[in-house]
Amino acid sequence: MNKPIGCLSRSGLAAALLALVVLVGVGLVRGGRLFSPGPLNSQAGGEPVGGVHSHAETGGRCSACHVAPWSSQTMADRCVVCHTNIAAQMGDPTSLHGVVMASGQDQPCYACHPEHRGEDAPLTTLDPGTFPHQATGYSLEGHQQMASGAPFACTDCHADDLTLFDPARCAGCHRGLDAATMQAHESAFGSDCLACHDGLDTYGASFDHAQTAFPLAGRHAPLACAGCHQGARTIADLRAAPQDCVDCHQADDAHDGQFGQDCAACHTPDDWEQATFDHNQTAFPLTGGHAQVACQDCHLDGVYQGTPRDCVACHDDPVFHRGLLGSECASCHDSTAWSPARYERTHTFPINHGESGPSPCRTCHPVALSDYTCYGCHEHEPADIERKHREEGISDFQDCVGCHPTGQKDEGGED
Amino acid sequence: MQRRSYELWSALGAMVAITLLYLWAIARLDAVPPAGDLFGHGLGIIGFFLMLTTETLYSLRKRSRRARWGRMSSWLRFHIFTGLVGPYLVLLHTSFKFNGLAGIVAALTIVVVLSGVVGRYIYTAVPRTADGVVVEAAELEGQIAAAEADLQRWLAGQPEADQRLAQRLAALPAAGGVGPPSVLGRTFLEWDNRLAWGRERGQMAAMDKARARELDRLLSRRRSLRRQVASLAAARRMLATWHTVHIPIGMVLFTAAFVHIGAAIYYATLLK
Repeated sequence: MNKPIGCLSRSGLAAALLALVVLVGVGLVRGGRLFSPGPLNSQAGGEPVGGVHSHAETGGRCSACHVAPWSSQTMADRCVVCHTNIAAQMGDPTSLHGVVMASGQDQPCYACHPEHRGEDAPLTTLDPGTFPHQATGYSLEGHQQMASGAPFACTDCHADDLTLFDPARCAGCHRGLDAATMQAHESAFGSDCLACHDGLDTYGASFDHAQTAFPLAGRHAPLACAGCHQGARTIADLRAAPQDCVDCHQADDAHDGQFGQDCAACHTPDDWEQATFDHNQTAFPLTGGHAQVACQDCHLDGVYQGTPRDCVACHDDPVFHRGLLGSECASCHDSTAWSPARYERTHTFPINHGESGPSPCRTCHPVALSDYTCYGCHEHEPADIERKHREEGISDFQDCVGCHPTGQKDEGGED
Repeated sequence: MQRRSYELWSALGAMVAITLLYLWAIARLDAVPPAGDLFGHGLGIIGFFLMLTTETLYSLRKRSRRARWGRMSSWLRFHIFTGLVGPYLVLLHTSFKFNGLAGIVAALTIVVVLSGVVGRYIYTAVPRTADGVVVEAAELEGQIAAAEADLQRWLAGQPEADQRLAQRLAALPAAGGVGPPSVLGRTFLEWDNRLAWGRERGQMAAMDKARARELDRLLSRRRSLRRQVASLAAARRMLATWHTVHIPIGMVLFTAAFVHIGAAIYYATLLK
C-alpha cells in the first residue's frame, strides 16, 4: 500500500471523530430526539397521565417508554407505569384489553398503538393481520377479503372509534351482496348480527345444505332457514336443529300419533299424500278381498290403532248360519271369498256320502243351516220317496236323517 | 480514458428496476413502505452495503498496485455503479421522511452522491491510461505532436483544398482556457469549439461524409489533447481539493450512518 485509503486518512478520521463528538454532544443536549424516527403524538388528553398530557411532552426522554435490550423489562411494562387504567383493563376479561390479554396473543402495546408517526397521527392502528380480533368475540376469519377481492380495512366495519361497532354496517354490505337473502335473514333472525355470528362461519353463497346431515329434498328445499332453525343464535344452535319429522310436523300428523314417529317409513319429503304404507308389515296383512277395501272402511273416523282384527267386527254373521257356527269365520272361510268355504268340524251327516265328492252346504241346506232337505239330490224326488215309503208302510218319513243317519242307500230299510 | 459510460447506463437500469419493485410494494401495501418493515429495512441494508463497498473497494484497489485484481477502470465503474444505486436504495429506505439523525444521514448521502458526480467530472478531466495511471504533460505534448502530424498528413492528401483548409483551421479558437473554468466548463468549451468548427465547415466547399468525418476526428483529437494539456495542472489541483472535501463528508456520512444503525437496532430492532 502506498498510503492509507481515504477513510483512514487524517482528514477522514478527523471528520469521523468530529461527527461523533457532535452527535454525542447533540445527544447530551437534546436527549434522544436525534434518534426519533418522527414526532410523538401531541394530542393532549384530559387529566395528565404519568405527569404528561401527551407523549410529545416526554421530550427526549426515550427511556420513558423504551427499555434497553438487555433489560428484563419490556416496553409494555413502561406503558402501564403511566397508563394504570389500561393495566386494570388487562385484568378485566370484559374489557377490550382484557379479552386481548386473555386471548393469549403475545402482542406488545405498540403493535396496536404505534408512535413516532406525527403529532396528529392516531395512536391506535389495528393491523387486521396481527390483531387478535377473535379475542373480542368476533373473528375476522370470514372477512379477509371483500367481494371485490380487496382486503378489509378496519374502517370498512368500524367508523371513527375502533372499539365501537354498529351492526348496521353488516347489513349495509350484505344487502349489497344478496338483498333477498338478507331481507329474509333479518326478518327471521333480526338485525343484531353479533348476537349469532362470531365471524368464524363461512355460510354464504357457497354453503351447501346437501353436505350436511340433513339434505334439503322435496318440499324442504324452498323453506326459509328460520322455518327449521328457529331461534338459532350460534353455529352450534344451527347444527342442533331437530332432524326428526315429528319435531316440525307434529301438528301435521293426520294420524294423531297412531303410527308412531317414524314418518319416513311411509312418507317422503316430496308429498304427504304419496305414502308408501305397507299394510302387510302389520299384524293384519291385506290379502284377498281386503286388498281392495278403502282404508276408511275399516279405520272408521281415522282411527287406526286398535282396529279390531276379528271378522265379526266388520262382517255380520249371515242369516244362513243361523248363529250355529260362532264367530271363527276363518275356520271355514279365507279372505279371498266367502265361498267356497271349507267345513272341517264334525258333521253328523257325511258330507261326502255320495259318489260325486263333498257337497256344497247349500246342496242340503238351501235356506239355512238350521234346516236341511234331501230332495233335489240324487233320485230323491218327493213323490217317489212318498210312494216308496208308503209301500213299506212308513208314513212318517219327513225326517230323513232320523232313519238314514249316514245317507247310505239301504240304511233304515231293516228297522 | 474510458469514453463509454456503461456504468451509468447499468446504474440507471438498476434504479429503474428498483423503482418498479418499489412501486409494486406501494401498490401492495397501499402506502409508502415504511423504513422499519422488512421491505424498507431490506432497502436500507442493501443500500448501505453498496455504499460501504463504494467507499472501500475502489480505494483499496487503487492503493494496492501489487494486487492487480481487475483493471482500475472496471473498479471505477463498479465504484460509480454502487455509488449511485446504493444511495438510491438508501433514499427509498427513508420512505421520504427525514427526521432526526436518519434525515441527516439521508441528506448527507445526497450531498456525497452529488460530490461524487462532481468528482468524477473532475477525474475525467485528467487523462489516464486504462489502468488509471495519469498521463503526464510531456507525454500529452508528444500525443499532440502526433495528432498534429496526422492532421497534416491528411491535409497533404487533399491538394485542391489544402490552402483553404489550412487557413480555416488556423482561424479556429483556442482549445480552452486555463484554471478551474477549463476543467468544470470543458463540456461547454467543447460545444463552443464544435459550433465554431461547424460554422467553418458551412463556409467550405462540399466535402463527402467520409472525409468530413475523418477531418472531424483528427481535429477533435487535437482539440481534446490541447485542452487536456492546458487544464492538466488545474484538474490535478482540483482533484486533490475535491478529495480533501469529499472524503471528510463521506466519513461524516458513514459515522452518522453507523450511529443511526446502532440507534435503530437499540430502539427498534431489539424493541421488546
